[in-house]
Amino acid sequence: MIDAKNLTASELNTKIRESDADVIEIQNILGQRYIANASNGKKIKLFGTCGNNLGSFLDGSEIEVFGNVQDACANTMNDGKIILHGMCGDALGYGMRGGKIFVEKDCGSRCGIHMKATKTKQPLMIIGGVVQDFFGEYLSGGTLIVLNLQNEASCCGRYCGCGAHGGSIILRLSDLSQACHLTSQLKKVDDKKKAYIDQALNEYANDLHITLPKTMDFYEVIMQNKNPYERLYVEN
Amino acid sequence: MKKQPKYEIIKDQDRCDTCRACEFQCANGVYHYDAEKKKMIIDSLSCVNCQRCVEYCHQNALKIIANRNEYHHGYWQMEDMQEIYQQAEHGGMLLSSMGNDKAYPKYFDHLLINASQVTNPSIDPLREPMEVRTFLGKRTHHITRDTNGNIQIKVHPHLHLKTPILFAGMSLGAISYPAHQALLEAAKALGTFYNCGEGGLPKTFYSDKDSIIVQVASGRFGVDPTYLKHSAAIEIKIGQGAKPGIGGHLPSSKNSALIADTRMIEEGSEAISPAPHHDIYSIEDLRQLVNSLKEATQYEKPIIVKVAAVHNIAAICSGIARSGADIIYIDGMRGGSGAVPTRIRDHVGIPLELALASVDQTLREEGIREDVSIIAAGGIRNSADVLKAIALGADAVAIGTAALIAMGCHMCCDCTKGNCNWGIATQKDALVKRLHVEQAKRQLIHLIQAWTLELKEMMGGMGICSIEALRGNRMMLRGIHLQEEELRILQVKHAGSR
Ligand code: SF4
Ligand code: SF4
Repeated sequence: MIDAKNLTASELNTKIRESDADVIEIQNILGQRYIANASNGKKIKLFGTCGNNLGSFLDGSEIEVFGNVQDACANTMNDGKIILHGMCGDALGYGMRGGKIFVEKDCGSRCGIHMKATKTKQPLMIIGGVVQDFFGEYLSGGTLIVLNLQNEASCCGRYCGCGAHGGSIILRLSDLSQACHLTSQLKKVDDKKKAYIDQALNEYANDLHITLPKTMDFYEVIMQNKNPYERLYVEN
Repeated sequence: MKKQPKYEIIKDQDRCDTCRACEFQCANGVYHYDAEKKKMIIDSLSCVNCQRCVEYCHQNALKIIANRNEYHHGYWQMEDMQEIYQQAEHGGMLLSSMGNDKAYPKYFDHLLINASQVTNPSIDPLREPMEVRTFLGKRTHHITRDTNGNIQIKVHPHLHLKTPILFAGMSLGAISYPAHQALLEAAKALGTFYNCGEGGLPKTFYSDKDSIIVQVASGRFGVDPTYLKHSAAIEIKIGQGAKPGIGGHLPSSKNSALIADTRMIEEGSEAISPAPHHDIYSIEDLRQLVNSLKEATQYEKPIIVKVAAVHNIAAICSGIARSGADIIYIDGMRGGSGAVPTRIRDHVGIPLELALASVDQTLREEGIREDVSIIAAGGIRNSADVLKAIALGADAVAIGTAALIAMGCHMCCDCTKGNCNWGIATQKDALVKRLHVEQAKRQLIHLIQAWTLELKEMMGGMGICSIEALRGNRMMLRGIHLQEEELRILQVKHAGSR
């Protein structure tokens, strides 16, 4: 067990790098930034409030946080898993291309921006609560799911999926009015997608130790264009 | 509205022996051979004046000239009207390539270099050592000692260049794989740096990490810990001189298997770089990304922040210097791009020379000049520009367009279509093969060697034997045909001043 009290981010990261524990437990985290940056092959449990850029460039480690997390968590995440038993700030998973992020509660603005997939990687982000503006902007691959488990009046903020040109944004809606800020069209998910969601939610519920409602209605945001710049330019 | 050809191809019928070289060399389909009439047919509408056919015509039978129909108006130029016709027909934003070609002042051409006479004698660089080695990164402010009085040397991570010239970042996608190979090989041979741009780093380059600068741009293409590790420095690209304030877009048609693999995206998908980094909305946020990258690479590599020269560049760079970055890269408005909206290219940003002088002066006044090195780029055309940029405050310069020209680019400024006949701005197999890596590498090496020799020659003439003594040394410059305000910003006296 590592006590983070009075440790700087660099000192903390050095301890993480040097640790060969099966599970690295870190207590008393109070806003340290950049924890486990670029980390791989570790299993880390964090207790407290993590500062900005937790797990940036994460490359395969599994991080579980018992507390809240500030902004830019999982920035440019390449692989691994982040499980947050709490809330998360803005810009979660910016430019993420692999791995999974499971958040129990709400997230701020600009989450899942520019998430992308590769030939071998399909990233996944599931938010148990609601998200604010610009969710999934520029999305080009992977899957974003918002569950709104508290049944808030609105599940996502404005400009959801703005400029998205790939991947999928899934909203769980118990009432269609919960998508009141969404300007895109919605469609009910098909059976294939539903099977994928069920499997993903199973893992989510297991990791967060929560029970999900038995029946849930999922809708997919219809992307306006696979190529948002298609007719924007003319050769000079 | 019928589109008019921009160029007219004049063929000397007597010389042409219908060898069809022009037809094979032109990827724009301008020529075809009429077997019945046994002659070459020319449709000049798609000619972009890349000069490939001219160079490959063994009979010297071809000449390309601008196609200008007689027209005159004191205000409306033919170009203005053609652009309106284009937009009236298609309704899109105009797209161009390369850099701003408008007639804004070229300040480099209004600066004259000093030479020693009588006192402070000039130095002959052929006989005496001239130091052009350059170190980029934070400088140590003061000497610290341990309790025994021994000097403790703390050297910040830095780049060591044998000559103060680097290659600018150009992505795989914007230019071809052989062009990247040639740039990297040349950088290695010259003791300088190749920059992979924002399109990721081919895995085949990983073994040369000590000569590589990798970019982290808003699209985060190809960025993972392995990529960061295989570099000598990391460049956060905020802006680009050719297109300040906007992002980039590699169309799906150019996203081949190699590019997708290198960018770490799906083949055939659109590769969009958003205008901003969505995790950077302030200098504090920038500081966070700088530190995050340092933390991810264990403080072993200098971090460069690249910005376009815009109106308030001095204040921006002051912020960057305080963000913890080690090097600031200022890209002036003449900088190039593989694809850029015409209006942005031609009207946004400010000249490098003014930006550079203003930034250097501001950082000196604020006492933070030694906290960062400055790389100047965006329209460096020759060694005199290099020298003037250094005298205006740069530690080194980066060249993009000049490097492409050294490899064979003919500045047709038609990179957007991906049909570059010189094998540079293209991903088409048949065209890519035209760029011979060894030859392009040799030409790049020759260019930088030649510029370095000229640099030493000019320094020697000034009585300066170390490039360090030239940095920000405005006394070595005099302005000509410049207004008082311009001289004030450049911090340069007018020619003839005492
Ligand atoms: S595009 Fe180039 S190769 Fe084709 S006709 Fe024009 S100058 Fe010649
Ligand atoms: S790189 Fe090729 S297409 Fe672009 S300006 Fe040069 S010759 Fe033309």
